[in-house]
Amino acid sequence: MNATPKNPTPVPRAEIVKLEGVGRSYGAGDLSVHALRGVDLAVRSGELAALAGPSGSGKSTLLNLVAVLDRPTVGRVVVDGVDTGTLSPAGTSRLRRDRIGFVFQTYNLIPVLTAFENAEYVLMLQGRPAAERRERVMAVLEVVGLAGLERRFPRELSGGQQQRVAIARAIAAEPALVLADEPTANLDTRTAGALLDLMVGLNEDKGVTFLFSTHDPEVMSRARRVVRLRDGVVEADEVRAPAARARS
Amino acid sequence: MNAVLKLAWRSLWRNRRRTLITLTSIALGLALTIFMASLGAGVYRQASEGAVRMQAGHLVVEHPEFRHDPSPAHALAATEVVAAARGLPGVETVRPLVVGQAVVATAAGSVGVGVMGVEPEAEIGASPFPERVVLGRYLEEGDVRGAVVGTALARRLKLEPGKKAVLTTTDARGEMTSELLKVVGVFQTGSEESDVFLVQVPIGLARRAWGLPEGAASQVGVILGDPDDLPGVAAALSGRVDPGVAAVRTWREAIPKVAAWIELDTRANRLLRVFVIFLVGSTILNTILMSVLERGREFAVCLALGTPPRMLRAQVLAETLLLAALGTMAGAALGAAVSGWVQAHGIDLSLFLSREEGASGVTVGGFMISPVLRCWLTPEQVGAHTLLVFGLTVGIGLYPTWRSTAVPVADLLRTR
Repeated sequence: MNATPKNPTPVPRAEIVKLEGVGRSYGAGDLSVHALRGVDLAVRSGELAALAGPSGSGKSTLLNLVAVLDRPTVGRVVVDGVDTGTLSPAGTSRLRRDRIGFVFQTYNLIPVLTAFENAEYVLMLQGRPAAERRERVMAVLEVVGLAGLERRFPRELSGGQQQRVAIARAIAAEPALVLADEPTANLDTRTAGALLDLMVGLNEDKGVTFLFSTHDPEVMSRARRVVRLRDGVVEADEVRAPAARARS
Repeated sequence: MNAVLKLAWRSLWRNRRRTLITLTSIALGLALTIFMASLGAGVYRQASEGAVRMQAGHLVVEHPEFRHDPSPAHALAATEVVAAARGLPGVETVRPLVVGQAVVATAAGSVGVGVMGVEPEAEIGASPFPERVVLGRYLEEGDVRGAVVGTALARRLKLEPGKKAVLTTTDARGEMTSELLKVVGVFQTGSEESDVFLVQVPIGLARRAWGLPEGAASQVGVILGDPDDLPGVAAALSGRVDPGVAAVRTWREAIPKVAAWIELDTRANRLLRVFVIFLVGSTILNTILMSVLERGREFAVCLALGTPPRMLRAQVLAETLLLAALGTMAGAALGAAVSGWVQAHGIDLSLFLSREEGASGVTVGGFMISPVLRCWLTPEQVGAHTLLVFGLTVGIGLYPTWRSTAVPVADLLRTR
C-alpha cells in the first residue's frame, strides 16, 4: 500500500490533469486487451474538453484513471498536482472528495437523499459547517435551475432535473476538475442541449474545468477542445474557438 | 455521525416491506425464545415444586446412610435439626417425617405400601395431600390411628373413611410390629405411584410402628418460600448440623429422577432455542446481504465521490444496529407480554390429556404436574435473550458491512 506523499510531485498548476505515457491493459499474455496505449495528455484549468471516439476506444478507461477509480499499467497520472500512483486509499478518497466532481451517465443520485441533500453530500464529506453548506447548495441549485425543487427526492424529478442535481453536486464543492462520463447520453435532445448550456455557462462564467466523454456529435460541437481516441491512442486533439451558448 | 444515521435510517425504510418482514422475524424469533425459556422455567418449577412438596422438601436432612439404606435404624434425632431449620430466613415450613415400607391388610387383601408419618399441622399448605382429599378428611392433630390413603389403594383394599386396616412392618430392632389404622380420608393426586402406594399416618403412629423414640425422624424436610433461595439456605443449614450425624441434601439429590428429567429437557429446550435463533439469523443475513448487494452501484457512487470506506461501512453497520435495536425491542416486549400473560393465566392442557380416572395432569418421575402450564419469566431471561439476538444480528451484519465497500467501483458506475 502506498503512503500519501507529504510533498507530491510538483507540476505546473495550470495543468489540472496530466497523463504521461499512460497505458492500461487487462488480462495477460496473448489474451491481454490494451484499452490505452502510451497516452500523453494535459488538461489545463478552465478547459471544456471532450473525449470522443467509438465504443472501446478508451474514453471511459481514461476517465477512470483520472478519477483514480483505476490504475494505469504503465505511465503516470497527475491530478491537480498530485501523482495518483502514490496515493493511499484514504488519500484517494480525499483527492476525489476535494478536487474532483463527477457527473455520471445515469445520474447516480443517492435515492434516499433530496435534491438539496444530494448536492450537499460532498460538502458534508468535507466537514463544511451547515450554514456554509446551505448557502453554497442553494446557490448552485439556483445556477442549475432547480431553485424550489430542493426538497424533492430523485424519484420525483425528471431525468434532466436529476442530471442537473448531479451537476450541482459536482460543482458545489468547487473542485479543480469535473469529470463527466457521457453526461447527456440518457437525455432527450432538448434537455441535453439545456444541460450543455449549463456546463458551457459554468465553464465560461465560473471557470469550472470539464473533461467529459461523449459519442454525441452535437455535444462535441459545443466543446472547446475535442480529444479523439481510437484503439487506445490519441488520434487527434483539436482546440476550437469558444462555443456558442445557446444550442438552437 | 448524524449524516450516517440519517442515511442509515432512510436506507432502512427504502424497502419498507422487506424491513418490516425482517423486523417481524427478529421480533417473533426473540419473543419465541423468551417464551420457550420462560415456559421451560415455569414447567420445571412446577415439576420440581410438585415433587418437592409431595416428598420431604426443597432440602432434606437425613442420616448420612439413609439414602443408601433407608431402614428405621438410620433415623436421626430431629428436634435440634427442626429448631435449626426453623430459625433460618427464607424457610416456610419444616416437616419432620418418618418414612418406611410396610404391608397394609384388610379383609379384602394386603398390599405393600410406602408409609409417610407426618405432623398434620405442618402439612397444611406445605404438601398437596390435604388439598387432594376427595373422600372424608385429612389427618388432624389428635388423630392417633388415623390414616389417609390413595384412591387406587382404597379401591384395592375396599377402604373408605371409617374403615380399619392393619399395618405390619419390621421395626428398627428387626422385630415384626403391627398397628391398627383407621382410615379418615382418601386422596387423589393423579400420580399413580402415590395413589396406589402411599399411606400417610400421624408421625407418632409411625414412630411406634418402627420403634423410634420421641423426636426421632427419618428425614426433616425444609420447604422454602422461594426456591431460588435454595443455595443460601442449604449452605446456612449445613453449617448448623453435624455432618457426621446428618446430611443436608437438595431436592436434586433427593429426587434424582425429576432432576434428571429437568436437566434433559432444559438441554432440549436450549437446543430448540438455538435452532430458532439460527433460523432468525439466516433471515437477517439474507435481508441485510440482499440490501447491500442490490445497492452496489450506490455504494460505488459514494466511494467515487470521496466517501471514506469506513463511513460507508459505518452506515451499513448503523442500518444493522437500527434493525437489531428495533427488532429486539419489539421482540423483548412481545415475549415478555406473552410470557407474563401465560404466567398469570396459564395454558390449560386438560383437553389434550387422557380422560382416564385420575389423569388430571402429567406425571414426571411419578410426580404430578398440573395440566395448567405457567411461564416463569425473569428479567435475566429477557435480558440474556435480547442481548443474544441483538449481538447475533450485529455479528451477522459484519459480513454485509465489509461487502459494502468491496465493490468494483468503475464497473458498477458504467452499469444502468
